[in-house]
Amino acid sequence: MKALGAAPHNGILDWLFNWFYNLFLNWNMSEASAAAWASGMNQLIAFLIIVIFIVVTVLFVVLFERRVLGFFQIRHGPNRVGPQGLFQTVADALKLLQKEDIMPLAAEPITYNIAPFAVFVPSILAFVVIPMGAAYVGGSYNVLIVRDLNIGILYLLAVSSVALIGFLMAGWGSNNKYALISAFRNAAQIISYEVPMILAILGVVLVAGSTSMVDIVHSQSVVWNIVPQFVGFLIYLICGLAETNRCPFDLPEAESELVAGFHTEYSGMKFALFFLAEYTNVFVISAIITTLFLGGWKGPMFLGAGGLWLTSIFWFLAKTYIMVTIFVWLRATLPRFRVDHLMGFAWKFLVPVAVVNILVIGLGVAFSHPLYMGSPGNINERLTADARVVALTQLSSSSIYNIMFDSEKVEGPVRIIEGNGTVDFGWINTAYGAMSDDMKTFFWAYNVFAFLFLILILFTVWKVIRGVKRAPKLEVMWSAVSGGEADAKA
Amino acid sequence: MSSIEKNSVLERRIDSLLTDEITINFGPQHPSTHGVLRLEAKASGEVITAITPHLGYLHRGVEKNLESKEFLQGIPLLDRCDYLSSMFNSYIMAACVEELTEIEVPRRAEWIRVVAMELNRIASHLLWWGTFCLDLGASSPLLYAFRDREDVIDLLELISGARLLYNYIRPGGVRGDVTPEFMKKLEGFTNRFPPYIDEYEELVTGNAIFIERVTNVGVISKERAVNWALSGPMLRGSGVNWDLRINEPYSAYPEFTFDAAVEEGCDVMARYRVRMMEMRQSNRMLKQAVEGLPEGSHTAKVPTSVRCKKGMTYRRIESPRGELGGFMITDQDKAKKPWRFHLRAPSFANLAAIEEMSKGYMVADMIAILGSIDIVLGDVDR
Repeated sequence: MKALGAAPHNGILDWLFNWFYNLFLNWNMSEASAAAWASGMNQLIAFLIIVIFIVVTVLFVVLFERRVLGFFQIRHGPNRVGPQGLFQTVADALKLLQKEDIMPLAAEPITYNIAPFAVFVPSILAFVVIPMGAAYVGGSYNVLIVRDLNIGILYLLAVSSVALIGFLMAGWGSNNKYALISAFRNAAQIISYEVPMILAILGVVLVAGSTSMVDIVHSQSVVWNIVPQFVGFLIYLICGLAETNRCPFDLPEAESELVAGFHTEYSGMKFALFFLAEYTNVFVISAIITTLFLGGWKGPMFLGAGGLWLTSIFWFLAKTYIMVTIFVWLRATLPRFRVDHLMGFAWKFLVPVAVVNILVIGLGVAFSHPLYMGSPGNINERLTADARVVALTQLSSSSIYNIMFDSEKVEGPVRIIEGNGTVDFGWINTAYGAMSDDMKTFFWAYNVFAFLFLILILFTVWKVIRGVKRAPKLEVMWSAVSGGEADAKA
Repeated sequence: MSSIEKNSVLERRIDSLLTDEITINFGPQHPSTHGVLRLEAKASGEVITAITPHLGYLHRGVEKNLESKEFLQGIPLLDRCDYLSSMFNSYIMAACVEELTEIEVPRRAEWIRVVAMELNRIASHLLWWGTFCLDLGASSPLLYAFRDREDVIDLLELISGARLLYNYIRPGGVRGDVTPEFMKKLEGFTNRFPPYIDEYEELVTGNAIFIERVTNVGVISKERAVNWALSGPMLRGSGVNWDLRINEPYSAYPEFTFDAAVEEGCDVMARYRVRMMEMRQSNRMLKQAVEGLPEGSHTAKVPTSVRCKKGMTYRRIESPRGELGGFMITDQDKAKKPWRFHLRAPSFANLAAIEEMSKGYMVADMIAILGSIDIVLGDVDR
């Protein structure tokens, strides 16, 4: 493996690769063909796992949304097909598969037919860089991720932007006015909201010092980003809503204005692809929020080292579904924005706030504020943070801790740490103690400022959600729009 | 001066680039037209420059049909005009016939009519509230509105046996007396309803996005509203204090204490607030009816086949959508059927002003404005 130049700790796939590689070597294959076959097997297995996971997830997210929405809207959701309606989406998909595939005569065949795939594929590609957990496999610490790209978050942004072309193709190819307006709304919306979104992500990247999704998760070993970067979290949440066309940013699919938006003319499985892409995106955005701000798979690992894979996946899914629930909650509560309000909100409010947010985080990073240091920069401590939490939750059974580290026979940068089973926060004190008096003054001033900033933002959010009791006094606009002269004419 | 300002307002919204206007059809099958209305809108970008409503998709010839039906037979047909407030349509026919036959309606009957009509007003406004919020993209209010509307409809079912088209109010009084069970349930409803309304106002009216969407949208001034013959919440939302229940009292309304809901905003928000306030006022009236429903008969003695004297009459009432008028002509004494019955439909007159209200606003605003008119296509086309 090392001979092939693959980086260690690059995910469970590398372990799999090794396993197959050794297997094939045992079968008396040459080294080169064993490597080729192993990588082929690797890709096949990864492909299968990801496809199965995506299909199950999307089917479940659709049902989840409908049931939760039903709960918010004082009604039962679908609960007839299978236990608790679990197979409702399967039944719907089967129904859509059997539908006739209708194409309007005036449609542009090529763009019309490619568009659903151009929308669906990017949403699936996003799964590549989402770390879903961690596991000890064969004694080595692995992250459950398809590829830990070192440009992970940039890759996500690039991939999610590709879907936009699919929307435009659908709008243009359908040769339908509703679809066209919807596609242009969508383009304007996604481009506008990507700006504050990237600014919010920058804060996370600053703290993590890396664009790799795994590094970003590891940087939250001590404090989740949502605490020091709450503003960034909100900005990203809002932009994520806009990016996925979710309420209150569902203008492209505003059924009261544009019937069904860009997929008005689609039927059968092509419609289903748009539909599934939307829900895949909901899950992906929730997963990204989890990774960037909620500490990814981190959490109390109550099953010990052996069950690390289970607990980490559990935490990842729990956090992600909490985000999905918030998405549904917003959909159940809020009305829709208007186009110009939407643009104004992005450029006049979100972008400035995001810039100030970057400034605050940048200062925090520059002056080594404990909250903005990420976890200690040492790779060893990052990697073992999960193990520490395991030990913390199982103080009595220190044997597990020992077993875990005894069994760890990994070469490379991971060093075996002799621990006493407690999480060491000493570095915070050290960092503070090392400050000069001036620095300490700045530290406290900074803390107060950040706190006030947070209050201000929370207040704004509260206002947005709950609103003001009465409408503001109106300008006398009607006299301008229709005045005495029009009366005289009439 | 005003024309200069008008131009500047429009110019701010329509940019001066050389662009093509596109024509968008809304309807007759479209989720936001609440029926089979077709709006032919011209839009420059997303800004509406012209709208032409095309009517008649639901024209059923009700007025002509009425000429071949006896008065009592006409009531269920009229119910089907404005099917969301059929009590009011029944009342129009009953009132016209009562005037031409000089039937004295018992006091209890008039009170029951008011109860029935105000219940129907609440049901109609609730449905409007739900669909209006749906137009603005909020999906939950519809479900909540239907929960309460279900209560109201259950009550109306108790007195009339029907849930939508009641055929309950008829010349001389009402078809059946109210039962103690109904009064008990009515009291329960009147106590239950105001907290719900408060909840709705908190959920929707105070929402920042909602306020941005509806304030200063679909503005029509006081003078223009009067000139367009708007009525009901559309008129009162433009600051004209004109409520037929107060200004031209009919039925038992003079005996009730209530206020006309008037808002000065002239915009969609004002109309919204007027309707919300009207629901509270209706509930207030229902409470008074629970306490003081007079004893007596629920109907006067009316022959099975009502005969009117020769003459003509115009009666108008305040329906949930505005001024609902009935103009009836009988051409002979002891007439069994109307020679001509014309219905002055509030939705029809209110819809006419849509172009003036939506010009210069965006497509999404146009949907909100159309929602704020609260049209029922059965009423528009008849």
